Amino acid sequence: MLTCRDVTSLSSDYLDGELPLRRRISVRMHLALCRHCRAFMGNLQHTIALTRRVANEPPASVSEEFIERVQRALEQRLRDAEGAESDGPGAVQDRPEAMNDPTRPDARPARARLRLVEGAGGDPRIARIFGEIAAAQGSVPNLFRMYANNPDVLEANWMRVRAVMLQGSLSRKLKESIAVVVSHDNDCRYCVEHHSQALLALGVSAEEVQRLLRDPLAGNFEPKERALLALTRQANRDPHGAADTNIAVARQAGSTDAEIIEALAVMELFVSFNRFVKTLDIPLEAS
Amino acid sequence: MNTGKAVSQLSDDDLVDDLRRGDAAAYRRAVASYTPAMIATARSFCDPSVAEDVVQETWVVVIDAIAGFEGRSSLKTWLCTITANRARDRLRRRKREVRLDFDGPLEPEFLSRFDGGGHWSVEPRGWDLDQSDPLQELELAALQECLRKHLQLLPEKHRAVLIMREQQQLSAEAVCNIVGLSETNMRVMLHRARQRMFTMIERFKETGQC
Repeated sequence: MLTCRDVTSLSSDYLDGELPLRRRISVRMHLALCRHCRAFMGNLQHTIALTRRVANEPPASVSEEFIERVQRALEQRLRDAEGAESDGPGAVQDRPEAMNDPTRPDARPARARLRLVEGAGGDPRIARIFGEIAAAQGSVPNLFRMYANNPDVLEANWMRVRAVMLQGSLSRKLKESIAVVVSHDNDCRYCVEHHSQALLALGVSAEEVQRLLRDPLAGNFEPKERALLALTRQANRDPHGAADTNIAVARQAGSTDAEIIEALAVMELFVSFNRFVKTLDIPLEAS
Repeated sequence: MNTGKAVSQLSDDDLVDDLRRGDAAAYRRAVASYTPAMIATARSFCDPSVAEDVVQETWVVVIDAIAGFEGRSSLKTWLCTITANRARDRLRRRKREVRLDFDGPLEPEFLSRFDGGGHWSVEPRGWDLDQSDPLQELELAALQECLRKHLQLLPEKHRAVLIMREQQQLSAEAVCNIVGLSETNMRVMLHRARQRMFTMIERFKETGQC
């Protein structure tokens, strides 16, 4: 006759159907008579079911730091593998002419010229600003991680993004479009990618984004928006040539002076970002 | 300009081509996209810190192995399979280190619940765990959180056995092979891992504490 302890010992094998027939019958008889062992057996079944449920979930919260580490290790390896071309860790930084060559997709250096600040490192101001950025954009772009090397400048630039991009009266779509077009004209792949994604997130189709890049003014804009886009584009490429006609057209199309300033502010914000990103080779985030 | 390709979601094929060419940017993207799934796979076999090593090694292997990727499975599945194989190898390599620190099927916690005659001295009470009761949803969520934590606290091999059996439903033979135990001992380990989870749930039911 099995004791309660025997049944407890055999319980997993019993539930898994691993017991030989005679044993199985003995356990079943014991269970019929013993409510304590029935309770235990029921609880063990719950345990197995709950564990299965939990085990089936993907737990993995993977630290950004780990992903960075792997990325760096792989980049090192790929560089080493390049052999002939690779003359040490400095190699990547010595080919500025390759950086923005659009015909060379591989030309983008994998590492920024200065350190990207990964965590706030105990600095409450950086922590707060990173928190605000992450809340507004979903994550902290490398651009801001670079600025974070100088917290005052980080703060000033974030305030600028907030004032120019997140406030004001022009539509977010127009402003992101200006960001994309100006960055495209300045050949800043980082900014184009980021703000194309922003447009996609606003519900703009991928085809429309493509069209914007090919022919900025062909997009689906109201006359006022188109005029402002033309003004900012001209202002980026040829500020003096922009002035009179383009401002007049924008006004005629119904833009207020405040809106003209707002549109130009987007342009100048991205002109400065474009140059900053390219000077420091700030890489796109991996995701 | 290759912006267009990046804007539209990159397909596996494009990514694999870029990886084959050794494109650093493609590796950055791939690492960011697939590492979480690979870590999840590795963690079912190894402790978290070891899991990270395994995943990092796996990526290094991928640089050479990607040439042989035939696209019969998705890239993600392929990466997770390599991860699982490497994690299992590591467990297998460590099997000589296994010291069976148990000699019976019951955890000390359970042994103490029986009297000399093998009867319950601490009588078990059935848990009232009706998963269809919405009022219990919250409690259940907290409980699962707790289970997740305790799963990570199990000794490496206990967890590997538990997960390979409960989640992946691998055959007993495969599990024994991987962890280097006889089937009898593997079943004892499974049973003891379940007992640990059992007492954890029990404590949670009684105290509400994890």
